[in-house]
Amino acid sequence: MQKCLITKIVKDSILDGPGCRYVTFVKGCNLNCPWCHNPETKSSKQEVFTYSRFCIHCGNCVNALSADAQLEVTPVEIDNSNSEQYFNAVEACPTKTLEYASSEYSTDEIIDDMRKYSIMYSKTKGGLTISGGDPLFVADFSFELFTKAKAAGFHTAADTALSFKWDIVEKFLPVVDMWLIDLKHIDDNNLKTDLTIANLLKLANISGSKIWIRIPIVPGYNDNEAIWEAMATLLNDAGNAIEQVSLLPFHPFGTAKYEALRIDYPFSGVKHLDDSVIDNATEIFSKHLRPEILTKGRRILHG
Amino acid sequence: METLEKKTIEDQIIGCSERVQKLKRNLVSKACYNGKYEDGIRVDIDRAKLFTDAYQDLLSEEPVIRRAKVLKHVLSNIPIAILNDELIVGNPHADPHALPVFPEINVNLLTEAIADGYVPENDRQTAEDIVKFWTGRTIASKVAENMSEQTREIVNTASSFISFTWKDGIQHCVPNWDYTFENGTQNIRAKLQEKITEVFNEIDKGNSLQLSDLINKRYQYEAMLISLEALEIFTGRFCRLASDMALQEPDHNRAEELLKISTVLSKVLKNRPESFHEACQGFYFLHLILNCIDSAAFGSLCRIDQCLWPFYEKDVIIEKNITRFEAQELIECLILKVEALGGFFSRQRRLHFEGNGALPIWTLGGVNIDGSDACNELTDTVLQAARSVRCNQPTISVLYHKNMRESSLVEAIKTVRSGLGYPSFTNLNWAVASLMRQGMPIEAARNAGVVGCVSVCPVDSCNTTKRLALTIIAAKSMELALNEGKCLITGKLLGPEEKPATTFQSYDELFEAVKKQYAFTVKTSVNVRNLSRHYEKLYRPNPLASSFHRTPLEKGVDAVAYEDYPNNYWLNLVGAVNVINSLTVLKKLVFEEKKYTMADFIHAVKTNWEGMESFRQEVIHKVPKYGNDDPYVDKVAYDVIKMFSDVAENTYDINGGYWSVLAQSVSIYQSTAKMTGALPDGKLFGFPLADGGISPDHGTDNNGIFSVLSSGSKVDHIRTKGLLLNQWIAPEMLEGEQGIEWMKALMEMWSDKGLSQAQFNVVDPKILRAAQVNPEKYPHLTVRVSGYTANWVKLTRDLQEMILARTVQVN
Repeated sequence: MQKCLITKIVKDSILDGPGCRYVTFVKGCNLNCPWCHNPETKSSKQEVFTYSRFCIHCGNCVNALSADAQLEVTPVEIDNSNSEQYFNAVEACPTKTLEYASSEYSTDEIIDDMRKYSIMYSKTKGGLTISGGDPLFVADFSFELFTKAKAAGFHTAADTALSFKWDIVEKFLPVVDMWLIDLKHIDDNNLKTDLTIANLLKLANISGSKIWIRIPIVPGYNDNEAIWEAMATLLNDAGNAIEQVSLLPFHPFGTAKYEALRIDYPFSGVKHLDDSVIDNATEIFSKHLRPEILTKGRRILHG
Repeated sequence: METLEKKTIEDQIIGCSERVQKLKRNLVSKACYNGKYEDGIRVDIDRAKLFTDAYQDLLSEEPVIRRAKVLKHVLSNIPIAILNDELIVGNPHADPHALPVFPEINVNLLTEAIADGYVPENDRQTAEDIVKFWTGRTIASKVAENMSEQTREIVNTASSFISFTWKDGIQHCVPNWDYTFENGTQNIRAKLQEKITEVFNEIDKGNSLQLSDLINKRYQYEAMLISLEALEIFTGRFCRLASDMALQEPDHNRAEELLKISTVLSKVLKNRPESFHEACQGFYFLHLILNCIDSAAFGSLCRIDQCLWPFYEKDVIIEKNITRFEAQELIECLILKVEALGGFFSRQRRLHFEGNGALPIWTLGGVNIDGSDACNELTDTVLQAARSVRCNQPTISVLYHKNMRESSLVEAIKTVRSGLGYPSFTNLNWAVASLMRQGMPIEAARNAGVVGCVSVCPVDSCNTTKRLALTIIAAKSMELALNEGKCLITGKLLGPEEKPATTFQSYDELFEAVKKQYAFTVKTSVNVRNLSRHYEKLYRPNPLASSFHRTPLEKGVDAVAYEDYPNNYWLNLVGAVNVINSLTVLKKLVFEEKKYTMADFIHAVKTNWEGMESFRQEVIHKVPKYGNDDPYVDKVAYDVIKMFSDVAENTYDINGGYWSVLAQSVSIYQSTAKMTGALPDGKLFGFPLADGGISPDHGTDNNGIFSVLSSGSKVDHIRTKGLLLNQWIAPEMLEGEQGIEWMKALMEMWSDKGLSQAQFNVVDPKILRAAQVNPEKYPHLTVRVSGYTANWVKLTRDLQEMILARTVQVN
């Protein structure tokens, strides 16, 4: 049975697909978006958060690591490139200062938990969403989980950037009812948007595909009208498979997590995107798209 | 679509007529904040004086006759008024700032009122004379006579015992509304006359064995007749006042209105109501007298959308005499009249119940006696009226079931979404199962309403005419078990002596020690309550309430003494979840992992965890907490609630019925903070106990509302009279049609999981914070404080912070 590190499970989401969603955020992603608000989902290895404001300086963490700890500062400085060396310190921390960034779950554990609340998912026409990270990055786990969810009668949705070879995407077609696709740019090699766009168009051409597009509007990256025009034209060309397009304003709530992982945040100090930018973008997108599919989205920080 | 994003709470007053807006502006609130009434609120000494004068003149009368005659004297002479713009009229006193006191129950309240400055200087001598007369004559003093010095000391001082009728003088008192409207006083009087004739004939026959019984019946029937005359005198006074005012009224429209009101008042309660207006007026008058003039009582139990439905249906739907909007305005007027009522409460109660401690609650929805859905258009109208007029009381509970009328459920959810703090939801399937287990027939169980905050009781019974509950701090049992039966704060012995907890060899031994302390508290408090019941039966019969129930007429008994159904009493337990979490900590760390000893924990609680913060943090974060769907702690939860129920069900009322558990904390969880010491779950002395019955402790539920429901479903609700679940839902979860669908599914899941009760606060914490900074901008912002609703800006800062600390469910 497949297992995966999961950073967060939200059982009552209303933001990640239709109806009420059971959302698992898998750990691991093939992209490295500099504005990402969930940095702990990038690496597929276990990591440790350090929330210093909870620290009572009891010294348990340093004691757990070495006998001669008197001189060390608390909380102990975690190096997440080598996080397993610090697990004893996490176990010893009595507060919420040192916290694992994820827990491991098997596919059965998740399906069993979902069954407890199945009425919520059936009544609201909701279901399972695998988000991340990218579900296609942990393809074996995601495929098994989607397969079991379908067998149990749950609707399935993959929240992905589709920045993979088509044969990986294709494998998921039988087990994914809906695609929530992150479209970040029209032409960015670093973030492999060529793959995103090619796969998106292929998916859209398959009859019966259901697609929601989510576009983060990020200051200094894609907040310009030319990009919006190009995206909107592309999405219009993709046709009726696209049921919803959401524009998601950049927000700075990820900052605290970067600090807790002790890594630099390229977007440190960048403020919440101004409403007027989203309004401008909405105006441009609405010129090209059916009005009923465009929503000004809202995405709340998970975790 | 009303969403909190677009509008602030204040903008949401929807559809109120100009009249209702004026009435709301002029309303005098009787709520308490920080233990104090608002400026200008005073004690009405007139009611107490009229009562005492008449009582002194009638000392030689039979108690039940005396009670009726005293009531007649009060209702004939209490000053009355009709206020500007009112459609529904009547008040406990002409002065809307006056609160009645009931020295005959517990005279100490009047003494406190004098000391706390609530008795105006002019009335002071009168008040002192009244205190003098009642000292030693009240029910409270008679109860005390029967207690040993030790019991008296424990009950008076121990913080484990919170509220009793004999202490705070509050009853439950609700008529059987269907019976009342169906018959009216004319019909009931005729039947009483027949009964009196029958009884006379029987007495005349000289049946020696039945004689005492027959004479008692005669007094009962005669007293009921006198109390009905008293009621008619009171309504007659208002009727004349309205027509007199009409003659004087310069405004032609208002004069016409007053004449119409006078016509309604000339008929009210006498026969089956002819109009919806008359039914609403009758409903209010009887509520007023029973709860605020004759006695201080919780006027809670009624299925208002059922008892007023025939009159609404006739006026609005069949004959179309009034529009739905006019009917809604009448309901809004009724709500405002109930909002204006209050009681003069003891100091302790004023602190325990921030907001309004009168706790009236209306029940909506549910099923008919054949099990079919009982919702109707009036259900929807009442909810719309509540949402429009936005008062703190009455609160509303919806008896939820899967087959509820769609529009009623949607209205209920919209009302929750509006941030009003109610309705709460009571699970009908649970209610029926629970009442049937207590021995009630299925028809009675289906015809139940909510009484107090959470409990259910059949409405067609005179079970509803006496105080049914008492409150104890369950968490105190944990404290006493660890401290040889002694209070950690005062050092006094409050329960049975226990061996030092350091000698406990097993978790089972510890569990038994907690049970022993809890059982003692339950036994002692029930015993005191039974003494109080004995004297209530003797000295506080209620002939007026008896007149509006079936059995008193049939059997010649008084509604206070008689119970149609047994086993309908409950213990309000405060801090149950602290016991669950504390036992879990000790089980895991002391008896299983053996990482710490009992001595470590005893030292910790005795020193209030001083210098042991890392130990305390470990206890808080490294041991599973109830409310996260964790099987380890949820098993302890099951065992603890079962133990609470086992003990309660082995404790009996003087009528022979057994007690049940009801876990809730009202705002008591805040005011009891200083009554309970530090606990093994990491609670510090002075910090509040867990909020609500089986709501997770503050901030300890980390897996969302679904896991909370899962944990809550693992304890046995059927044996209880309800386990309160408080949850916060962020407003965005309920936005739009999608939010309504989400909530509908949530309700169905909650019901399927067998939970008894749930209530939701849907106010954006941002708005609550904003209101802390600028209270003047949010005068009507309400939040639910487990069981009832309070005005946010008037709550103490402590309680505000506690409420904000509750986990808000947002993903």
